[in-house]
Amino acid sequence: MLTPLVTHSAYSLLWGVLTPQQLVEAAASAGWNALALTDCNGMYGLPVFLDACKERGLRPIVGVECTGGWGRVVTIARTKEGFSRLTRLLSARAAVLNEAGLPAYTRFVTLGRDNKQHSEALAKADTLLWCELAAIAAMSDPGLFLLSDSPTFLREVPCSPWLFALLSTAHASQWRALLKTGHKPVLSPEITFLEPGQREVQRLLAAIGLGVTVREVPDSMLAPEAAAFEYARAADNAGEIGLSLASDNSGSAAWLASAPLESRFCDLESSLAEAATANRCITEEALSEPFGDFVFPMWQAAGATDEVAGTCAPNDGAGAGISAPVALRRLAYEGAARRYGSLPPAVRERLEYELGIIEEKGFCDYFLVVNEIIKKAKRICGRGSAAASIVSYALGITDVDPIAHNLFFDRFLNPGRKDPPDIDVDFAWDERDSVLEETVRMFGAEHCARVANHNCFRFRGALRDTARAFGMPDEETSAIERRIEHNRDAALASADSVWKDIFSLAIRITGLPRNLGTHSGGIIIVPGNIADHVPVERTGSGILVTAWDKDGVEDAGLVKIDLLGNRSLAVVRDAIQNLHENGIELDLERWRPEEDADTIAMIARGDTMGVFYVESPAMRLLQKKTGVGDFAHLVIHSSIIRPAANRYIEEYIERLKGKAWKPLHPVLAELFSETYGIMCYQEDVSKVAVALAGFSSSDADAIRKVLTKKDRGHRLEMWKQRFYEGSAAHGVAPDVIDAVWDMIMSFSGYSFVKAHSASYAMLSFQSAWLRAHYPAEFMAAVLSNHGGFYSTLAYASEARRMGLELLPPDVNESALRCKGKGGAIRWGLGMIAGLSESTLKALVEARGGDTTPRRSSIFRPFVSVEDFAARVPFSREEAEAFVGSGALDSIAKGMGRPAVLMALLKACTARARHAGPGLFEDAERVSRGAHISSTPHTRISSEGSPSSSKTSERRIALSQMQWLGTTLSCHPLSLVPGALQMPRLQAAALDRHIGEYVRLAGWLITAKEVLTTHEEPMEFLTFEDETASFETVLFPAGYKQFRPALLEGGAFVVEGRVEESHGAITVTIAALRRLPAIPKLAETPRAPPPSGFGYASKFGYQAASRN
Amino acid sequence: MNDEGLYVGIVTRAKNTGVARPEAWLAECGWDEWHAGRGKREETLNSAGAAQALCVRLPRWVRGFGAAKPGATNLRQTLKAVRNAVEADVRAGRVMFLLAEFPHSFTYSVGNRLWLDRVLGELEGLPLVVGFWSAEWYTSRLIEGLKQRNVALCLYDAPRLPGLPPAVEVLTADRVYARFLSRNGAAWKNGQFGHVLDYRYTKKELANIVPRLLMWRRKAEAVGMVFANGRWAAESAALMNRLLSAHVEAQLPKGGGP
Amino acid sequence: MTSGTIIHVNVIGLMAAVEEIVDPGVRGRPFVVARPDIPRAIVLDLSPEAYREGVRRGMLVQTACARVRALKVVPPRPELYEKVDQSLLEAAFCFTPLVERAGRGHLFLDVNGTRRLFGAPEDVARRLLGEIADQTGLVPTVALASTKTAAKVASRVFRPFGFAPLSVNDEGELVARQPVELLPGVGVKLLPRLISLEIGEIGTLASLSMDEAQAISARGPELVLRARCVDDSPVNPEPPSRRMLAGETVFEPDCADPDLLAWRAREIVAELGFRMRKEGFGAHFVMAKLVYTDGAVASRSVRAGQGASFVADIQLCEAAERAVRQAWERRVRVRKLQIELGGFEPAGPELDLFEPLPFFKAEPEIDSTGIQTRRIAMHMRVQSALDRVHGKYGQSAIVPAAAFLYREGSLVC
Repeated sequence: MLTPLVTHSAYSLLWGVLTPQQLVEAAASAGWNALALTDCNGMYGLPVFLDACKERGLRPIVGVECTGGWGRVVTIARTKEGFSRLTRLLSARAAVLNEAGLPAYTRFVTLGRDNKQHSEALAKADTLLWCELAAIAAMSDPGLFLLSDSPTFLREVPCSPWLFALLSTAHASQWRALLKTGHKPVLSPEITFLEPGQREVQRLLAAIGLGVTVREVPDSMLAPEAAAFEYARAADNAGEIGLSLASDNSGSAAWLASAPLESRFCDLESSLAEAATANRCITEEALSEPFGDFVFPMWQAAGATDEVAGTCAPNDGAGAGISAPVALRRLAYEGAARRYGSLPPAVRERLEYELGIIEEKGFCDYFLVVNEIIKKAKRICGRGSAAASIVSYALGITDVDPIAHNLFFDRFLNPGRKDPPDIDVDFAWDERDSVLEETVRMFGAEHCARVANHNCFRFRGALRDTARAFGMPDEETSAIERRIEHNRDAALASADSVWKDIFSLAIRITGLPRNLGTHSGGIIIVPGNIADHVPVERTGSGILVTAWDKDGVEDAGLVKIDLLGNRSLAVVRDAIQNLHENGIELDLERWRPEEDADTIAMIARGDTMGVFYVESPAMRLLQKKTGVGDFAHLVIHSSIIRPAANRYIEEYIERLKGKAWKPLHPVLAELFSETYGIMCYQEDVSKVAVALAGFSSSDADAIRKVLTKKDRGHRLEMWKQRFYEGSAAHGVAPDVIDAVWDMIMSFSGYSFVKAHSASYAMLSFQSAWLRAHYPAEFMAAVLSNHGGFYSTLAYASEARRMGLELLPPDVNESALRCKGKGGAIRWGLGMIAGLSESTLKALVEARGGDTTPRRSSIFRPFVSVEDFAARVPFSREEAEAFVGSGALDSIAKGMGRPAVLMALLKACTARARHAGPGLFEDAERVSRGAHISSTPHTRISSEGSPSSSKTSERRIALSQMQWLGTTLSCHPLSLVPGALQMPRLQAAALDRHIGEYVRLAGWLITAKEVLTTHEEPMEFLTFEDETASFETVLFPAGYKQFRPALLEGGAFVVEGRVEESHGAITVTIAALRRLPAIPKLAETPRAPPPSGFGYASKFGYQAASRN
Repeated sequence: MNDEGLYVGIVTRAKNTGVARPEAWLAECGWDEWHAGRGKREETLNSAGAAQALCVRLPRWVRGFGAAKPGATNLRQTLKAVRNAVEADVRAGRVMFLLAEFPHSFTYSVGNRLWLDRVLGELEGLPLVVGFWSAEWYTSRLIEGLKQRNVALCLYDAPRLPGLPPAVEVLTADRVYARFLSRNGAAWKNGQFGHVLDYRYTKKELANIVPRLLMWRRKAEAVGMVFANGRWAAESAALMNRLLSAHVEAQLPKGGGP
Repeated sequence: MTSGTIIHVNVIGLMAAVEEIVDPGVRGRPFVVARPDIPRAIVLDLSPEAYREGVRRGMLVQTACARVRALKVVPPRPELYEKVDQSLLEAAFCFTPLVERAGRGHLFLDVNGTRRLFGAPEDVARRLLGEIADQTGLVPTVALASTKTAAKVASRVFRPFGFAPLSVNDEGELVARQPVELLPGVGVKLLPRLISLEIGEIGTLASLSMDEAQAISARGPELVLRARCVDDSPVNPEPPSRRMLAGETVFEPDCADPDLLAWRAREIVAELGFRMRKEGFGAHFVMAKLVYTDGAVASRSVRAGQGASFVADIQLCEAAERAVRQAWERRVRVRKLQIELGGFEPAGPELDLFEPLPFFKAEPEIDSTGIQTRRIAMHMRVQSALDRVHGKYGQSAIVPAAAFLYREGSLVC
């Protein structure tokens, strides 16, 4: 049979339409036993393809279709050497295109817009491909097969044993010409579509890629219709045609039966036979396993290769020349001594045990590399299972003592485990990028690449892209989206014909890869050249990434290090810094927040808004219900709150509160005594599988892993069967097995290992401690880092509830970030909407410093508005922001805000004029206006002149809403007409009305949608009024009714019954009504829009609107 | 004149209550007068065979009047009293308009605007007409506000003099109310202030207005026009009535019209 | 009590108003004027009742119907509106020759110097109102003032069915008291800034000094002048058709096909070209103006080289297509296409049919479109022949074959 050597999947980005799985599936069903994937100028789909082939028992062939303006060469890897050659070639081509800002998948010059830089870059990439391929063809053994149907290429490049003339079934008309070139022919089916109709999908994808409408994409940019699976598959019709080729099983060219060409090729019989044989040879010789063993980062490579060798070597620079195991051992012992003071036998024993395994498995370098990286940041938090390691603790990767908290190393590394270790580290969110950059610099750019994300079309994005390709304006698309959000079926049913087309196409591209993004923090460091292992390219934001996503690089054996961003680390850092500025120093070495009684009590009350990981409404409710706040329980709580475990939470609370319980099985009683017999941590699944069903530890690990995968379906079924069989064999009663399996299923989706939860709980305690003892500094840090779970508005309300005073931004008093001191928080200048970074920088420079300005001798405060205007450059829009936010009120000296704004605007104009005539002003206009001042005009307004008025409280609050995103001195509800005046209960008094039907006014601060056991959507909503926040539940019936009103957020009237459970209070919503929105400042004149009766709309249809 | 909803009338004054002429369909009388005659009103008016529709004119600058209910202590009570007093007559179709006219001293200040808002709010649902003598009130804000509240803006036919309202016409409600004061601008200029309202509209002048009135009739449910040109009021009203009748008849498909 | 002499007549929602008159059945009901049964048709005009329900002009009919259940869709009658518009103009011409057409249902009149004939401007305005009402049944908003800006602001204040004969004494103050957003030129970006400056009324804006005016925005001085009703722009009596030739087409459904767009441009330009040549002119520029589905507008023009002009269809079409291609920058459907020819110059002697052309003056050796004079000259002969046929039997007598490709589904207004 002829193996399809030319196929395109959707990983020919924005061109291909089939997923590799679909291709493999089709090939398997057609009876092929080998299949190549040759995407255009890329290998993005390779790992997925290999996986799919493995599953269907097909022999994968690894290739790339190198396409340029001159034609194409399909390259097929024969050896690993050849494969590396391909990855290097793709990386080199990508580099050329990236330089011009084009993505690596670009094939065509952008239509319609003649961008010289782009077309030059593309031409350069084409040339590069040509030259490299020609050079490869000339090599004695390049490790590659080159198949080309480009007449120019074949004509120019001399014959070579590796170069073939490609007779593709999709381009039969070219065969004669190709055969004449004198190169050996190879015959291959070509597959781009499963059915010819998919060509329209391809047209759409191309239009999206090119940024044009579908009608503008010419047919020549698409694959020919003959590249459909039907043509390729015609081989099944073997016997029907007389043309028999070679001695193989004769069907090879039977596709001709369906192509109406057979008679025309009779004379080519012998050539075609030869071509078919070539196909067979290539199939046999091609490389099918491109991936090998793990590739670890090398510590030596890091230490030895660059100028920062000193910093990379352990501590004192004595590292040069010593081996990794020695260095690691030394660092571990030193660190342990620092952590524990002395080295008790238990610690020593544990260290030896861990070091032994790490060394045995060759992971020393990996640890040392991570150690080098974390040295770059002040504050980090190890996450994942690595937190169970005493070596991590000793190196400072984590802050949790694994011995004290019973964390077991085996979950992280054990002798039987086959996959590489995985150390994930959190950094402050605003430092992470610089850490990553520093890491790349330290290890050398050619050794490093970030892990990519394959951004796939999701329905919404697909709809938007499709709509654009059909020329729909975004506004209309947004309206449709809202309708879909509300009621998808109704929206689809009522759409007109054009939108119906858009919908159906959007659904067809949903799930296909769209472009390359950057994985949140994964980085690959290899000893050699990264491009030898994986094609690399730059994303739109200029970051060098691998062509494969995190699963792909894992398949390829490339060991990644995850460096992730975490806002709470920045919160803790900033709060401590703020304390330092206020003259308060913490002894961080002796800081034991988890032992602090006040902190524990505060956590137990659920007073944890802003506190890392335990601030969500669900978590706070759980805290309130359990009433415990110690470290051990917090570890349990942060693990038990997970999507699928709701029903075990109630049971847990009751058991915690002393309900008698019987273990499902005696074995479990022992295993889970510390979590009251409830499986809580991810590793519990493995434990139970080993203990109850007699799984080996690697099988047990596998079942744990399957649960976290998205496409767990059928694989899980297999494990379930094995689990049931194993348990039954161990004499476990069927109902117990059922119950245990149910509990195991509660781990699907995501779940945490204990070590991870413990590491996070430590950070929770650090931030909780700060909240308990230094609320102003803490909340200031939360606000500056844009918190986590809630909006600025919600945090500001919480701060007010905590008794803190919120001071408006001030050009002299404020730092860029919010700062707390005593009982007040001073708003940061950086938190004002609409101010550019450069303006802020200029401001800080002009006054001589950011923080604690008053104390500094170089501090030059702004003494007046004129002074400010003279020293800080700003735009007209920024002037509005400065004035609107109130940042200039303190230097206004009795001038009203309008007068201040006018002064700033004048300064803007004056500056622009000095910057040179003609830049912003045109001379004629200036002169035209010149006679204005000479025509005296009395002030007519009864509204008062701009210089005198005093801005009202309400107006100040409204402009704070606009420029700061929240009000400062009052609750935003007070700006909503009628909200606080209506008869209602205040939220703070809810606990006195349990069981009653009440009405409240509330500002929606967060909402979480969940599915009931019957898969019906319902929602947990958190509101707040001026006294407190309150939790509500919207059950499915109410959800259907009120959901549309909720979409836009804002203020609501909430009515419902007050319920209490374990001391936590919720309101079950019976009715919900949206209150009017807060008026915008520009609307305050209470005037209708300029069109008055509305006869002039935005749409310029009627001439009326032109006037 | 048999076009329903089109009312022509004159201003009656306490001193010449009996002036209501048979031709006049609409009478505008002051609040005190109307209030005083409440008990006997029916017979007086009907016996005179005169006004079948009435415009009750609230005292100028309502703010200062407490006559509606002796002992009323605040605005709300006062306006409630007004509402109570007229509501039945409004429902019965006897009071067609409730005119609140504000003198020149009622300026366009924030306080006055808020106060007006309250007055209009309290009297919501009544066939209100507001008239302003201060030109300051003629703003888009006021007009849009009146539209929202379905309150008519009184239209004036008055000399073009400073201190008198501008002669603009606009439809803000489902009713229109126009007052014909005079066109005697010359008297003012000559210092004969007493004669400003002493003006005899010519037939031509009134005939010019007829199409506009009929147009308003098409757009609104009730159109009232009263003549306040002093001693000529009754004559002008009668003349206008005739003109209108002629016009309406001319348009009736009786066959053989002019 | 002197008044200005500029009268602004504004028939708000002309199409809907006409429909209300023609079909009393729709009066007082929410209805829209739109082409029914066409995918992606839009609301061309609407009744006040429909406006109150949230329907807007330019909205998709489908969206409008989803919003208002009882919405009636009245098919448009372009000829009727054109006729009504024409009667408005005729009514205006009864009083003065100085009439500017500022768009459909929109007129400016200058009645200066007509007092002896027709009386005071206010009377003229009133009579004009009556005339329009008699002839069309429409009740426009009419404002009388001394400048176009003042008249326009007044007609925006006293609507609908308003009549605002402002005296010179009144008008300044009346305009000054109106909210700034009624001043032409104050939009979504400037309005919040003015509000922040507590400039809520036009008068406050008018009282700004030159420095302040410039501070507000680069075009601030212009705006302030306008706020003071310093507006010396005259009522331009020249009908637009004299200054330029324009034609337009509305796409229903809206168009995302570059070929169709180009074809429509050709169609329009052929018609305009015919009219232009009939007058013996050539055009110096061809402008394409696109209105996107979302209301944004883009325009580009293509100019002939120095001293040259576009005369033949072949030149006009090429230029129009180029202008359209350049104007269509956004990847958004086009709702309306407008083509304008302007910069008219005499096109030289009319050509004789079937007679060799010795000399053709207006053409340089190679014109800006790169088409050789010779070819043009040859084409001109065909052109004159075509023009004659068109003149005699109408534009549809001879059409390019390609026309049949695009005949369906689109309306040429």
